[in-house]
Amino acid sequence: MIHLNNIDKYYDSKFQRTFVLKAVNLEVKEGEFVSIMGPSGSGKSTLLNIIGLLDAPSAGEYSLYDKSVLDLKEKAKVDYHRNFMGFIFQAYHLIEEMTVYENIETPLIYKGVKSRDRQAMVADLLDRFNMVAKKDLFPQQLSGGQQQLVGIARAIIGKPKLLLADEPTGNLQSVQGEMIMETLQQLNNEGMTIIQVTHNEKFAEYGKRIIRLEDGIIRKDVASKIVFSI
Amino acid sequence: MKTILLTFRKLKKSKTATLLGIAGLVTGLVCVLYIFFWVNDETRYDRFHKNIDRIFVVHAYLEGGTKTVNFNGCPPAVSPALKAEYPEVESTCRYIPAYSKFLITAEGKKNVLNTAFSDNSLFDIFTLPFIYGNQGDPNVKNQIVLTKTASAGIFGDMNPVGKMVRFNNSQDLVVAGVIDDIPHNSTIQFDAVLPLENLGVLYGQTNNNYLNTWYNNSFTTFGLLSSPSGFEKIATSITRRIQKDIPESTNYLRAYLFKNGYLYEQKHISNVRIFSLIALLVLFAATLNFINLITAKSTKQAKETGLRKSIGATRGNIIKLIYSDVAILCLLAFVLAFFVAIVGLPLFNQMIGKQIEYSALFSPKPIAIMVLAYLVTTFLAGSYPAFFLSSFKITETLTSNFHSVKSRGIFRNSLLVTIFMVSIILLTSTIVISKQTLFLQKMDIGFNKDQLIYVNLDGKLQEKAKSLKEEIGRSAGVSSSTITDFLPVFVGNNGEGWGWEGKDANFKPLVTTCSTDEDMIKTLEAKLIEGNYFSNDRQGIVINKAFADVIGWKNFVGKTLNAYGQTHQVVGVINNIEYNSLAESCRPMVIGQINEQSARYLIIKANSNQMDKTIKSISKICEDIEPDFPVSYGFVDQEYAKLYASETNLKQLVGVFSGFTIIVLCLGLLGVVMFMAEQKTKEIGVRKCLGEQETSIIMRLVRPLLLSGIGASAIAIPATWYAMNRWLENFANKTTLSWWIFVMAVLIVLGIALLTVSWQSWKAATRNPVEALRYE
Repeated sequence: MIHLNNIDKYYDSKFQRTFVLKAVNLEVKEGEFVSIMGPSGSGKSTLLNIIGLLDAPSAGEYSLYDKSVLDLKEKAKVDYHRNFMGFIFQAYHLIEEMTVYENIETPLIYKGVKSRDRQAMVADLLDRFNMVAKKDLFPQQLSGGQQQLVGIARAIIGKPKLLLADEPTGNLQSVQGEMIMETLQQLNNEGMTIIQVTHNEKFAEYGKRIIRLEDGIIRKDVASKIVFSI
Repeated sequence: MKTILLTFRKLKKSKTATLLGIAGLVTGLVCVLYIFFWVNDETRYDRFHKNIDRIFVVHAYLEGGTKTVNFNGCPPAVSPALKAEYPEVESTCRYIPAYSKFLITAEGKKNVLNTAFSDNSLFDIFTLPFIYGNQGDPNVKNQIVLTKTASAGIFGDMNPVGKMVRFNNSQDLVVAGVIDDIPHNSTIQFDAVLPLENLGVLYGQTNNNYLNTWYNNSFTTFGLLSSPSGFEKIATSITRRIQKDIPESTNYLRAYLFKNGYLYEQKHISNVRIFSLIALLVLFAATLNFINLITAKSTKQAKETGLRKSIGATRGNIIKLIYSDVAILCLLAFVLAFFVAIVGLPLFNQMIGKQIEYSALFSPKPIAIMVLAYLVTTFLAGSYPAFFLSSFKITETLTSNFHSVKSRGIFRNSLLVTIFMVSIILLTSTIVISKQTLFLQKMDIGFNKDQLIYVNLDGKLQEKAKSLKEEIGRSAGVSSSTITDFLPVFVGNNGEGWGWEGKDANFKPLVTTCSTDEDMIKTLEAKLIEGNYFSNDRQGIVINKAFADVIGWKNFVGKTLNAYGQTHQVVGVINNIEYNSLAESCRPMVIGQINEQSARYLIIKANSNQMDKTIKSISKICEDIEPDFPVSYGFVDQEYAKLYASETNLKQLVGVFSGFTIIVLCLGLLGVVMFMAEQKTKEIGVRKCLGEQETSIIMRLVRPLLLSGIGASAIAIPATWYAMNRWLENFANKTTLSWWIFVMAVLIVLGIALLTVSWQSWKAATRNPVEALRYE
């Protein structure tokens, strides 16, 4: 599904070129759950942003389903964001002035889904995450874990093929973190492709495959232990 | 609907900043609305006449003296000549404005009414609709038309047509009709109007010859064209019309369109332009302020935009969202402003001395302009955040330590400089105009206007003026009195027929003539420069210094001047007594000895503190002599105040508007300092940990504001200096533009600014650094 070939990302300052990513090659198949790990500044988030079309690489090739997605027009990019991928963020990034319900609904509005269909879809998802009672609350009235659940719900409401999570548990206590990871795992089991960036070894293990980045270079790309243990 | 809901939730979240922004915008808008009302009122002056585009005015001007002198009217013979000679002219009318009040007695009631005199055609030309009756027969002399209020004061609610009233206790008139009250923004104003032929009674003329003369420029002359295009011909060919009948006359004629009279002939347009400019500046400042405050949380907003983009919003979606957000807030501000403006209207009217009515607000034009202003404000206020916020890269906005503020420094500074500038300009102008008004109030006008009471010599008071004077002189609290035919502030009688030995035959200056008895100097405390004032033993005339300068001799006593075939001996020269206009320098004047027929006023110098008592005893004496007329008296200083009323008015207006801008400025500053304090929380925390003192931190917050204020004064001071210098050029008697005015204005504005931000800065500086650093 995802094919990255020789991706570079660098910044030029006056006298030197600083590489964030260097010659990254990566292939992700449909249905995979990939965890990207690495120390701060290793380029994990940049890699994820490039995959998510939020950032462009300085050099290299990137194709989705064998179709190059570099130099896409604004409109085409928006299309991918609406229909193909969903994002989860460390800081949740929920819209504070919107209720839980409205936050989840927003992507559908951009997608142009009709009001009645939207209601049904949001209700389904609320039901699934056991948040029906909380639908009229505002984000700041929820715990961190619950906020991130809303974040996930918002990311998957448009039924994306690819879910991109940037440290989804970074701001959470471990119990809540586990809950989130279990949710992601379940989504993966239902067939969704997931790529997550994480610091946490334990949470990385939820992925089927772990990629270790260091100074913008992929050092290791292995199947996770849990997969072995199964 | 959804967006409205979201906007209100947002408003609730960032209450202070948004409310400050809205409050600033509301203040600015109220100011703009009031300026708009005022401008609207000024520009609609006289526009209620249906024939407004077809009415023109003819007036005379005099050339032959040192400079051109304009008259409001022209000779009475011009009006019939115009009608006869120009087929384009449908109708003409001569009109003597209601300069004075006359006694109208009816139904046993005495009413003193502002009375105008006019040809019957007045009602054909102007839109003065009748409630009862009509304009009457043009050939009937003994009739009167009243306004609704005047009629109600005499007859109550009944229809008075056909009833008799007694005019000036000397003549019976029939009420021909009652017109609706005249709107306040009308040049033509009266309580009652009489046929012109009644003027003769007043001036002791038995025939109507005075209406056929090519002299006497006191008749305001209107004409009605059959089509507006006919004006050009009249304007170009009328100039030398008087000379056709009187070849040696130095009076020329000029025509202008009546609709231009108030704005252009009387130069009200310059104030209209000035205030329109002020309105634009205030609106601009308030909008900038609003933008600044609603984007104060732009870090958060930028994150939200980034997020929305990541979940599939196009740039168009974002821009639309921000615009609708701003549109809703603006609408709120506009509705609030409209409400505040309506509630405050009586107060505003009272402050500027106008009667703007609510109906003026709800007519199509103001509403259309409001809607336009709303769209422009929304567009201006929305554009910056819309394009600024939607231009960020998504990845930049979504990182946790994103700050969107780097590029806003210039924007914020230019905002501050603009508001500071407008405030300083307006405040300085207020001070200059106040200083000029005070100067006019306090300047040497050639006599002492304080404690001067005047009594109109109505009815028998005129012929018994001497015994009245003696009687009043005996009563307590009166130090002296003089009989005159003028009040020191208004002298209407003039002519160009004065001559003297060695005068160039073509030089014909306009000389004002008036007369008093021998006690004028003592009563008015006027000063003699040369010789003595006339008395019974010393017959002759006294001239003023302006006339003496025009003639140019070294001394005058014993010399003679001639006028209209008579020779007059000069007995003295007095210092100039200012009259008619303070804008122009004093004009030549001759004072002669008064005779009984021309006595019109008794001017009394009171010397006691119990003015009430003095007036009571004066009234008593007058009533004893003439019981038929109610005593009409007044104070010379109040009459004098009318001479600079328009300056007083301007001072009020500019003062009110500068108050508004200063409020906008304070709200803006408050927002900016709050925003800076928030943005620098971390920096302040770190600095405090490193041991920086609180005072130094406060200075850090306040310094950029002071710098913008000083920067703004660098632009504001020269601009105001230039503008005010030009304004002062309109006055022959003017105050100086001292440097301290500018320093004071800048200090006041900066002082208010400092006071406004001091609390916020202090709060920011004294915050616990640990709290600040924990903030992430």
